[in-house]
Formats: sequence, structure tokens, C-alpha cells
Amino acid sequence: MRTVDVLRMAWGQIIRRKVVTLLCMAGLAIGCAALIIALNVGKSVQTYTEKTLNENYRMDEITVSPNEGISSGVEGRKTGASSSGFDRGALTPRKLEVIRNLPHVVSVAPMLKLDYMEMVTSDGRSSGVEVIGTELASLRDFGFRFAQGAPSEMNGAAVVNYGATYGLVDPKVIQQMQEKLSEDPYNDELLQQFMELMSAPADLYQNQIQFKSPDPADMTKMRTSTSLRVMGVLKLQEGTNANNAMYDKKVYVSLDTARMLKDQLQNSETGPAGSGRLNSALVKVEDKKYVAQVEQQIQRLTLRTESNLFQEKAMSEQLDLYRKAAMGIGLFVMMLASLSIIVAMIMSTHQRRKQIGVMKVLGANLWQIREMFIVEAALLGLLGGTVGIVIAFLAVDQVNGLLASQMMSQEGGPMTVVIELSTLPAGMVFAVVVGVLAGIYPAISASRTNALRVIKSA
Amino acid sequence: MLRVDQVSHTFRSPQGVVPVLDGINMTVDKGEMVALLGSSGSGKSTLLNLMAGLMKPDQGSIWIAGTDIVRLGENKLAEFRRQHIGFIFQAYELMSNLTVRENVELPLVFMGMRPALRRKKAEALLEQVGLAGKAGLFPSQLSGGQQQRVSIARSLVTEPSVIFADEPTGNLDTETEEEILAIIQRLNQQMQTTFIIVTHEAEVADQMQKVITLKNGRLIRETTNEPLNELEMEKGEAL
Repeated sequence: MRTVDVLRMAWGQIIRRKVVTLLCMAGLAIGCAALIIALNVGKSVQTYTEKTLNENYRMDEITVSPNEGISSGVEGRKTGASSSGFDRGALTPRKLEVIRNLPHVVSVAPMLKLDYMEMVTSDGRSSGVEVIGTELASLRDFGFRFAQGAPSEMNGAAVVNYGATYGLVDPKVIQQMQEKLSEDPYNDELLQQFMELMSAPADLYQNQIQFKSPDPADMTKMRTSTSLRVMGVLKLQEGTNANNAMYDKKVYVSLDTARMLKDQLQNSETGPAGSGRLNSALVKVEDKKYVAQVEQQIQRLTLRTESNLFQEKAMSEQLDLYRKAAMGIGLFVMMLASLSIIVAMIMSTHQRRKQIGVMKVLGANLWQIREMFIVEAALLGLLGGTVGIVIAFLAVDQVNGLLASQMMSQEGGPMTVVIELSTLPAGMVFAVVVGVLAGIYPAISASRTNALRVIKSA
Repeated sequence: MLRVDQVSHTFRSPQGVVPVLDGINMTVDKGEMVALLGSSGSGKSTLLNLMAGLMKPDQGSIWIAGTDIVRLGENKLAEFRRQHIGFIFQAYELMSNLTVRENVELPLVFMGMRPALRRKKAEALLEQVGLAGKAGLFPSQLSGGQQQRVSIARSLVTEPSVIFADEPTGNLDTETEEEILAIIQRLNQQMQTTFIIVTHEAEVADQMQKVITLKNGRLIRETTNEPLNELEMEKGEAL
């Protein structure tokens, strides 16, 4: 039989048996749509999660710290470390230089993190901040943008982040309000006033600030640093929630200034500042795909590394689970669809048994009868797949509307499910394959029809 | 052309094994018109179905055009039927979703013939059976006699060696019956195709060249009729 004739005969049956056609198509269309949606929801969730991870966890950065298990890297401990700058376990400027020259490393920011301190403005307002010594010029390499000013390596220069400009209140006012609140904890008006006070930004640019810290020798006394000038104010980082950022208060100073502050406020003998050793460094890598490789190379320098790759791994394991579940649902629906085809095709075979019998008498062989039914099932698959694609687009449109209304407050906007064109042929092929597989049994059953019996009985 | 050797067949029923045909021997020459005559239950239809390859006998062999069709597998038999056998049903058995021309073309579709060629063949045969203007109609738009003519055209389209007809006039009135028989006779003369027709009517059998009478599954008589007279021939050609 010629292919055109097989197609024509199969198509003739499809348009003639409208109920069977609709039953089969409905099952296949729903199955195909479920599969396409399952595939694309999985991909969209992955894309959205990767975007969120990149924004929140900075996947292309590595935090390097001394390997204290090998060598303290801390002054005062006599570990026999050489003075070559490659002391085992210590994070030294020389090692940083090596890291800087590693392939795929974009920037390295040495970090000398001091403890949390009280920052006091020239007009007496104060707030607790984390002070970090680094190369201020490298801040831009790590995605920091300046709202005011610019990085300056001048001794005594400071750069404050977005959060550090909030919560600067006169300590006496704070104390009074806290006392009132403890007396009347359910006073909403008072609570509101307190919240407003804490969430009002201060203009720190070009202002002088000082840091206070308890004296290590006598914890009842406070030490005060020399005055620093705020030479830059950082913008809120992209993708960061402004409310959360208000509580992340950091002041960046040059490494020399950090060492000076350490000398003034803390016992310098217990820290690495005096030796030129650092307590951490931030490494920016060209792309997150190189992070693991760069981490390995840094670890060879007997340093500890920490990146957010584990977040991605954990997320991808969870996503894999979701994707498998979605695929499982899609396949289950497809299986139900194939059952609907089998039932509808068997029904159709029964209705056409006399016709099949006559065809056999006229010379149709087993394969020709089977071929007609299988091609008919494949055409039904094609039609069902096409309708399924339309259903998938309509359903995804509704899903996106729902997500938009439910995820309005999400950082980075709501998740959007996008149907990738590459998944459409997969859905279509699957619908046709299911159609063909589901058509095999009815086709075999049809070809086994006893021609004589059905002609006589009809 | 056709030879039946010691063919026996039984049916199984709840009451046990029922013999239907018992040691049938017969031969049919090329171009002959043979009637299988017998009352209901005589085994004539079973014999026809066995000869057409629609059933397999319990015993014996059936030779058509030099092939023992009893020994052929299902697909080989289908292929053989396609090339050598035509079939005319009592109830016409046309495909209601196909046009008259498409119905006639159907056996050629199974042969894989090109559409243009099969269309030409179908139209030529429809003209021979007097339905040239009805090619585009559907079977439901035709009378019983016209439908049987389509069925005759369909059986002849593959130019088979033998055509089996199971009570081809059983559903028709007397006038139409005569028309159909006349057409069959004319086509037999023109195309030299062998016809084996099952009938229980002696009037129909009388118009055949050979009459084989069956009774209780046994061949009891084989007679030869006089050739058709000119008047009868003219009657067939006029249709």
C-alpha cells in the first residue's frame, strides 16, 4: 500500500468517527500539555532559583580564610612558620598575590575584619557596625556601586554601606524609648515611633565618624578611635531586599586604617593585623563554573575556602526531585491518555470489524490492516499533540497570572514559567509515540479479525 | 484452473462435531461459469469460502492457478487472493465512507497501484457495468442492483483468475436479478474470467455452464448446461 493511501484512509476514519477522534485527542492533548508544562515548570524553577541564588549568594565569589588547623596564622603562636610569606595555614599578602594570578580570578579583596563596634557620628548618634579593612578600590569589582563619593585609599577614609546609614539615633533617645516600651510594650504608637526613628536614613557623606569598643584591659571602660571621614556611601545592592539590608551595617576602611583601628581599640597582639596577615579575603571568579576549580587551587595554598556552590547543589538536588515529580505527573497523565486511546481505538475496531473483514477478503494482509490503525493512532497523536501545545500555552498563561499575584513581594519579582520552543517537539513526539504505542494492541486485534465471521454476523 | 481434491470439513458445535463437507472433488476450467447449487445446510457456502481461501479445510487440497491455497500462510494467502481471486457478496459489502469509484479501486489500493492507473481501471469497469455516471456517488445513494454492480466491478478490477459469488442475487428482485446475471455472463464472455456462484435457486443455476449440486455436504451431481443463446447474450450487452 502506498503511504499516501494509508494516510488518506486513516484521515478518512479520523474525520468520520468524530466521537472516537475527540476522545483520543482529549486524552492525548491533556497528556501532552501536562508533559510540556512539567518540562517547562522544572526549567523555569531552575532558572529562577539560579537567578535568585546569584543575587543573594553571589555564586561567583569565594571567601578565603586562614587554615587554622594547620597553622594558627595568628600572631603570638609559635608554629615555626617561615618568614617567606607562605606560612602554612596563614593568609598572607604573598599568597593573595598568587591567588590574584590564578586563571579565571577577576579580583581579590583582602579582608581584615574587626569586631562589631559602635559607630558614633559627630553629632553623637550611634549604631553598631561591622568594620572591615580592605582595598577600597576593589569594592567595585565585587558589584558594589557608590551612591555618593568614591573609594579612597587615603588613611582615615571610610566607606559606609546602605545599612550603615540607618538606625543612627541619639543613644539617650533610644534608651528613653526602650524604657517606655518596656513599661508599655503594647503601645503601638510608641512602637511605630521607634520603628520610624530606626528606619530613617542619615546623610553620612563627608561626615566624621568614630568607633567605640570596650577596653580589653578593663571591659567597663570604652576606647574611642580617632575620627575617620566618610568618603563614600554604597548603594543598595541589586536584588537585595531594602528592609533586610537596613540591618546589614558595614563600614569599609583601608587595610592600614583597619590596623590603626585595631591598635587603638583592640589588643593588637591577639590579631593578625600587626603581622600583615589577614583574617579573610574575597575572591571574585570569572564565572561560577570556575569556582570549584579555583577553590581547589587556593586550597593547595593551605587555605580554607568557602563558596556558595553547596547552596546550588542543595537546590539542584531539591529541584531534581521537583522535576522528577513533575515529569512523573506528566507521564502519569500521558499513561491515562494512552488508556483512553486504547479504549477508543478498540471501540472503533469493534465498530469497523465488518469493514476490516471485507478489506481482508479484498486482499488486505495483516500488516496493511495494522498499518492503517497505527497510522490512524499516529495522526491522532499528532492532532492531540497540537491541541496539547495550545492548551499548554493557555495553562502557562494562567499559571503566570497566579504566580504574579502570589509572588508580588518576592525579591527579584515573581517567577515566570516560560515555554521553551525546544520542548514543543518533545511534547509532540511523545504524543505521537504514545498514540502509536496505544494503537498497537487495537491494530493487532483488528488484523486478527475473522473476516468470514464478522461479515456473516453483521 | 481450479481443482478441489478430497476436501472435507467439519464444524464444532455444542452438540459435537458436525460434518459439513465430505470428500469433495471437483474441477473448474478457465472461463467457466459454475453454479454451486444446494438447499440450506448443503455445504455450498462453506465450499465457496474454502475455495476463496477464507477458511481452511480439515482435509484435502484446493488448487487455483497451480497453487495449493490450503498450504499458504495468512499473508501469502492475502497476497494470492489479491492477485487471483475476486469476491461478490450477497449484501454487496461496499464501504459506505468511500465513493463508488473508490470502492472499485480498493483492491488496487492494497496492491499499491498508482492512483492514476487505478482510477482509469475503475472507471473502465464502472462503464462496463453501466455506472459510468455514478462514480462520484456514495453507495447509500444507489439502489440494491446498482450496489451489486459496483461489487461486481470491484471483484473484477484486479483481473482475477476466478470470482466467487455468494448468492449475488439473493437480495434483489427478479428483474434486477436477471440484469445482474446478464452482466456477469457478459463479463465472463468478454474477460474469460471464471465465475463460481453459490445459489439455492435452480433458475439461477440454469444460466450457468456447469451446475454442481451438493446435498448434506456431498457432491451428488455435476451437470453441464447448453451455452448461452444469442438472445440472452444481447440482453446482457444491452445493460
